[in-house]
Amino acid sequence: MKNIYLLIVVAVFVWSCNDQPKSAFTGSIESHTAAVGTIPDESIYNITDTFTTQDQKKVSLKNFTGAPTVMAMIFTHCTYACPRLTADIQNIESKLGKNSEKVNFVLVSFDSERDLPQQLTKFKKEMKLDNRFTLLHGSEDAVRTLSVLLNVQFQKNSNGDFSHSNIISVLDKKGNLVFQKEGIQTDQKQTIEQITELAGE
Amino acid sequence: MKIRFFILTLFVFSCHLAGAQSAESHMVKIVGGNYVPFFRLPNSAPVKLNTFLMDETAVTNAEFLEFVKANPQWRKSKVNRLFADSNYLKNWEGDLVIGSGNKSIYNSPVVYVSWFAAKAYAQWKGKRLPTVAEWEHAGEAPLVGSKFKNLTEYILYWYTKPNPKVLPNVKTVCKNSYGLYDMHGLVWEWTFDFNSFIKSGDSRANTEDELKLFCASSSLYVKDKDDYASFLRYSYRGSLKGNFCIAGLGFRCVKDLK
Amino acid sequence: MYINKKSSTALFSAAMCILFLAIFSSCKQGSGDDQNDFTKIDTVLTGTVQAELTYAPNVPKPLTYTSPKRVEVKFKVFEKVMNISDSTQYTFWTFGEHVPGPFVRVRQGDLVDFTLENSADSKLTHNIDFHACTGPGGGAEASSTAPGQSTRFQFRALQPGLFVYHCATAPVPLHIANGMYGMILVEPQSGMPKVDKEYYVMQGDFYTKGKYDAPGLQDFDEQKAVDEKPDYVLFNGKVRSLVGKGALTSKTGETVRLYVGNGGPNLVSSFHVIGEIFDKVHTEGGSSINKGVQTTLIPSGGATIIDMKTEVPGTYLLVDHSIFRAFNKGAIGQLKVTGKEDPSIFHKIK
Repeated sequence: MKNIYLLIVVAVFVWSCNDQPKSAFTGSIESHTAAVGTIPDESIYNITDTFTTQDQKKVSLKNFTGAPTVMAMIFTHCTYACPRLTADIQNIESKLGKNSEKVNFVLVSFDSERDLPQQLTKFKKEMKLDNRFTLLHGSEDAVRTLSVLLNVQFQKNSNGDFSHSNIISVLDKKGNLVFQKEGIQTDQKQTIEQITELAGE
Repeated sequence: MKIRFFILTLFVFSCHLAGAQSAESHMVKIVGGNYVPFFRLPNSAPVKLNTFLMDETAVTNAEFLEFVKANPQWRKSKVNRLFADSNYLKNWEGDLVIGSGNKSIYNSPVVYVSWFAAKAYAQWKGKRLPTVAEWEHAGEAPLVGSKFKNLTEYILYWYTKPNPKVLPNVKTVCKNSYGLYDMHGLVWEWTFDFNSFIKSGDSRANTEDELKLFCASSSLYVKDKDDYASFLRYSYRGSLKGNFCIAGLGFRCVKDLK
Repeated sequence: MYINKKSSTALFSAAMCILFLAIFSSCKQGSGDDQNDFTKIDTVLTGTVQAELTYAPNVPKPLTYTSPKRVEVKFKVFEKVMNISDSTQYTFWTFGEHVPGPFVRVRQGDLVDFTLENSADSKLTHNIDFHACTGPGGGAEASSTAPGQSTRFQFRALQPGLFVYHCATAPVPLHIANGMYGMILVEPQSGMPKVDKEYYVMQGDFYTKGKYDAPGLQDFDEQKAVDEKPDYVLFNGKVRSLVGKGALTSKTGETVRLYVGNGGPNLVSSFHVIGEIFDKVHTEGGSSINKGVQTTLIPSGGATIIDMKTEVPGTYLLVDHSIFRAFNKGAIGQLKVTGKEDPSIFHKIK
């Protein structure tokens, strides 16, 4: 019992010493290695940040292991590219037919400030996204980290909107990045082939 | 008298210690304001910057060694390739050894570090990486006692020289009016949002507000067409990926003013 | 009955064949430039080859294969201090430690598999824009390469001709002014007519703080470059590179082919060989041929192919006929022709 107290005191002390900024990795840096488990080194799921779903659930990307994942980064106030990119993914989903049931569809928002779970829920309804879709909110730090790993460029403009590249990423069951397609309303034949292959594995 | 002297000494000593441990000890205050981005998107306005603290020098090899000691997962032999490519700390002799042959670089900027490693270091220090706007704003300040006509000329002079075999120590190259050392002329530095939407690398054929760094199209959108140094800096950032570890690329940290 | 039907079908087929051939051949005669019709390119690859790369003034050997290949080409970028004249140094940015960069020779229909490596010692990011490439930025976007990294992309050589390549990283003019250019020849499917000698010559203009031939390491002068007032106008990146030991050579009776490019960044070249007439000029490096030309314009970022028979021995000067450039800024080279005199063409009378 005494030991536990001591541990807590030490932990609090260490925590305050470190003076972590609020937006920092919620999982500590140390957990990079701890979190790996069966995840291969190259997997995007090695990032330890916590995201929040449209249903207020706390998740880390690791939660998506086990099924191939189609991932894109968007922001819900976007009037041009993001609704189209989202529609592209819905289109992919419908063309996958039965295979779509074996696939995660994940949209991660650039907009840490405005795209809180309620807003993500609203967008999900507006876009008529079914339950295979998960929409994620993350800290600025988490979103930037993911964007770096997915080679997605983005910049926040002074009006709160974002300039960004439009990329659909396909991850395998373990979170390895296996395919990317840039642009909106492009031919998604290859993307669908890639996902179908992964879903069949 | 003796006792008073002793107490005074103790006081000074403890102040010094407190100073050494405080994150602000080697940071200077950068007064905020409106930063006009070098590249302008059609709907962009000046970026409003709060006043912040910035490391007066780039992080040195000696400082980075302390980080690596405390965080084993960032050692050369352990680091995940997703977060740092095979050039990570290439100029060090071992996991915890900068190397006896490298004595002269203990106080030189640490290079061959990835964005992920730089960010982890900053977090460990209770700091963060500067944004592009913060870095550029801080880097725009004029140099103290420079023989060059203007900053661009000085930077261009440096950019157009190949990297030296051994990097000089920090504080040996230049100082600007904020009191920041070597913002230009020593190493390139990582920024938090280096992958901002202004770059080379991919085709963005279907985006409306695309901005390209290629050929003459890029010069239509910049605030100063003659500022070749900024062009070079932005194209450099645009070609980076988060796990790249490069000979002339280091970093320094910033911190919000509470 | 059965037999008859068969023979009539055969007759019909033969007639159709003749008709088709007639139409086809008349088309061929009519258009005259089917060489440029890339819809006729066979895109099925028949193997992989390594491109032979040469530095100026040398040109790779004519190609011997007659079907499309995947051609592997690899360049490495170096930022390097080299002599711009005997007593002056300059920090060149180079493809392969030479200005101009390597000469590449491929065949129309080939798939160029290109890798760009940027030396770990480089300070800057570089890329490449092939004028022979049909695709975004001529490959510039796909090849943006940070120091110590490499990138790769593929493009189909659709059109025959002589094409410039150059670095297109911002600020583009600076990368070109520092020497990052070279040429790629896309041979037509039928190949190039044989000649005796082939040479690679590329013009470029340079802007330094010090004047022409000022000793020591000279820095780039941005203002002079913006004002388009070069200190040096050079063939193959160095004063006197094509003079004396570096001179081009041929024998009387031989036909010399010059692949001449202009990297710029600013000037248009009025390319002329003093004492020669160009028998054939592939104007602007494309497929139309002009004959009997004295001086040909080579735009910045353009090229030309020149064939000329050297009839009379002597030293012939390659110049930019905007002649101050030749006289004062270095735009001069030599072609030394040896062999028997031919008084019926030229002889001096006392």
